[in-house]
Amino acid sequence: VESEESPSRLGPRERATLAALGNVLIPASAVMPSVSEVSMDGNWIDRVLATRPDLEDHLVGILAREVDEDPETTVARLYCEAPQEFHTLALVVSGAYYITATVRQLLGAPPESDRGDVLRCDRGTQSEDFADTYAIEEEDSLLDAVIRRGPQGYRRTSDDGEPL
Amino acid sequence: MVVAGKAGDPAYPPCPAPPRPALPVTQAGLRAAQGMAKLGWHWWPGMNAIDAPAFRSLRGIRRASVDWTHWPAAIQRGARLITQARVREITLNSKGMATGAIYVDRDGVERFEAADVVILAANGVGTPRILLMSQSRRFPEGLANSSGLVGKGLMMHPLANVTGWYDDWLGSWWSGPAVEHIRSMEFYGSDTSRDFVRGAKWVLMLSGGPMSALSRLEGGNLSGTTSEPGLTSVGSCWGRHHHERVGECLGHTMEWVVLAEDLPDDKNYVTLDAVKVDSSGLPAPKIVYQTSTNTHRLAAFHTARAREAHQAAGAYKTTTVQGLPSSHLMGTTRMGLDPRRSVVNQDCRAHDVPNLYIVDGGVFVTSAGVGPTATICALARRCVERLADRAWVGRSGGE
Repeated sequence: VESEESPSRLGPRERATLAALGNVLIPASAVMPSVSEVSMDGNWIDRVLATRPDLEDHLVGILAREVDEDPETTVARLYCEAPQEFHTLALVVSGAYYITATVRQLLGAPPESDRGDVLRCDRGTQSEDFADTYAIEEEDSLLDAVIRRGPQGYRRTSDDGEPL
Repeated sequence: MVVAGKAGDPAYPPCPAPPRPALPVTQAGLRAAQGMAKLGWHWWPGMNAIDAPAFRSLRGIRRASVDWTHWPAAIQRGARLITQARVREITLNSKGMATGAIYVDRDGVERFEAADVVILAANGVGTPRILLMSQSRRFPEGLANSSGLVGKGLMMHPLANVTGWYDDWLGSWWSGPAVEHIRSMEFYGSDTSRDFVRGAKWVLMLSGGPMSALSRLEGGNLSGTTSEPGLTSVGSCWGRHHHERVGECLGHTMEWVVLAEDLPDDKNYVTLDAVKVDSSGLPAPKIVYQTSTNTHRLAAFHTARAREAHQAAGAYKTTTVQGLPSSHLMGTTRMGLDPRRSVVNQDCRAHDVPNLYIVDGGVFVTSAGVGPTATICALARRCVERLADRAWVGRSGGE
């Protein structure tokens, strides 16, 4: 889903640094892609910063520093020595990662443009992943036991508010 | 405000059925209900302010909100909505009647809106703030504050969450808005065998999406200022174990939210900060609040029971967070018949100012252990119906 958010102040160099640091936080697995494989195309980062503009200055400051160390060392250093900076970095990276269409699809979420009819209130048309296991009869059976116990804890009050 | 729920809950007094049928309890709710059944504890399908029959799509989620349930109709009938405005003062005339409000608009311009009747609904912090800012010769300690109780008795419903972790898939995090799947009132009332009074409603909710999952994992709480040790540990949610850790949580956790009844205490209060101001230059509210011993004991008892509930439902582990703040702000302009011991009367009318009304959580005398919105709505409706009745009587030559 393309966003109409305006681009942030992150330039190509800052984005490259962010991708490298992001890959340390969320690397690829056998199934899931890394941050740089999905989050850096399009404007996912910009969408996050448009939602949390308070993070932009902080993030730009973190990425602008010239640090002669590998990304793993940078992330570990921020984690141990600058937790506030680590939180900003991790929040932006993970926020952008989990809103990408690719990751959403891999996690089984329907695309944003087609999220209808997932949960219906008509009990004859439960969602696909629920219909196999959901049993109205079981719910009713469990509720019967609650009803048989009768009022628990509730005490009627009189007109003047005192318990009867 | 349309509500979806199931009639007949024995934990409540007999009452008419909700206007809409209950939402499905879902896999998570059914699983939790099975655990409650094993323990013989109360549960019931959740009550939600959702227009259920129209709830066919997550696009344009239909959780009830006054911006679509009430404001469009009100505006159509002539109401004028001014947003991003901050009231600085409710003004009075020489007879002690409210005459309107001075406010600062979005451009920082101070304006005045005249009114025959002023109704405040800024809730348990905003309303006392406005009243305390509205000082005059008649009310030097703040408007409608002859009792000295404006701002006093703040109640906040401290929350506790007990998350259960399950091997089984509990349901899709995208399959609906955050709703009350089921509830329990098993431990709602006072019990003299316990070391605290009152109780709490429990609300069962899914644990949310990936970001919510991260917040429950080691190193994943991104709201604080300190990191936990062990970025490279097996438990860490960052690095090579990221997807594994997230996968354990996402769709496999649900939480019992314990909504603790908070008791009124004059030591918990809202006042005006002597130094801090907002961006309009108005005094910031200062909140003085300490969770009571009673609430600490209540939360300890309830979270222990909620862990048992998860275990009965098959959870392989539980995690507990206590002392979470809630957005329920109540008790700071309390209702009562005695003007010396309360701020508004039973119609939500200020004892001191006959044409000033308050329709928010501030009028609560006690907080109860349930969400306050339904009660606020009911009180607001009663307030304006009686106000309209009096206006009608006045126009027709009555009082």
